[in-house]
Amino acid sequence: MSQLRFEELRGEEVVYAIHRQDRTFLPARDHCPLDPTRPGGAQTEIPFPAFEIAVFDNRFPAFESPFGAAEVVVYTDDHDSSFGALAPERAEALMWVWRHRYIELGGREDIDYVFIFENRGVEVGVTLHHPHGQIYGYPFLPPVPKLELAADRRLGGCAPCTLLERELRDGLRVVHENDSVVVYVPYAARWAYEAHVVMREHRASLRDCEPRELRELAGALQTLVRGYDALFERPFPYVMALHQAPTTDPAHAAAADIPAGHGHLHVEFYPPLRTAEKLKYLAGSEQGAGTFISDTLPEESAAKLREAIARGA
Amino acid sequence: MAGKPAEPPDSGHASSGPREQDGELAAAGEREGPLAVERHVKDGGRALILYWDTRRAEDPPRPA
Repeated sequence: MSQLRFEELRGEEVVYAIHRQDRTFLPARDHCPLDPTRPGGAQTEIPFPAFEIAVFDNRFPAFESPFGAAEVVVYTDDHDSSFGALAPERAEALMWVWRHRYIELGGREDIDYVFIFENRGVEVGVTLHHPHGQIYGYPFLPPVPKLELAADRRLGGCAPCTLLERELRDGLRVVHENDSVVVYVPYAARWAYEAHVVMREHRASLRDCEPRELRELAGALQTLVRGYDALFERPFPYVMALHQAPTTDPAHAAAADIPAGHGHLHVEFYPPLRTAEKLKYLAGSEQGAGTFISDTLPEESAAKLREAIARGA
Repeated sequence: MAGKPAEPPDSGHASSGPREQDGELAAAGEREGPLAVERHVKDGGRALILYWDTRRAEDPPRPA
């Protein structure tokens, strides 16, 4: 069981999950725990010879009931695939899986925030190469969603709605769009090729999306990831983070001054590469002062990313 | 930390019945949009949920 400690100087929780020290780390290709269990082979986490999408409780959880949840989402039984390489129908199906988990985990009384994410590449700490993501159910509202709540207050309404309107008006940083979703490098991107994938309509969560919106969200996400891979002609590492409405119960939300309906579904990508060979490290200014120093301008990154998306299509 | 009632499932999200042990199928007919949802319990009590697209096939993708 993990332990929470509150770091008073920063005003944030720190999670101690010391059992994770021994988690599976970059196993050999034929010992992948996320592969299906082949006849006559060793049993994996999914004891079936084939599957489409699987979700299971993390064997090395950062959070577990009754103080949250940690789940693994396996996108395919093909070890050598990736999110960008999935068939469009499978990527769309993944949106429904995320929605299912958001609703179910968000309905639990011990979970205030459902966080769906993917770490891709050893550069961001991946320990298993099989295409998969994770879901954390936090028993508290984490700092980044709190900052987005503060942005809503600062801008006098839904911040993602306001920022999307600005990006569409400016147009310089938009890299892809369809009827439901806009993808742009934000005006004040912290990472060289950071991108935000934002629902055009105000949708607090996946729960509120129409089937067509889920399909077009999947399409936009795949378009971006394929563009990333085309950018430097190599698998592009990233952290993909879904931001949705907190799932705090209404009574508790009122006490915490969280307005009803707060949240606007969007997906943020934080890629650590600033060139084909060079990584952006979080060093003195980023870690000690909390201020990103970037070597690139978002408008120039967006132009390169647009070209890469065209090549990756 | 919150204390709240579980939210009722909406139209696209049909809840499951009780789980059984030892990897047996727990709930029949659960759906999430176009997906079938099949719940299992792994050794040690961990949950495993399998999803497949019913537009492709009504049955899960399992070789005979």
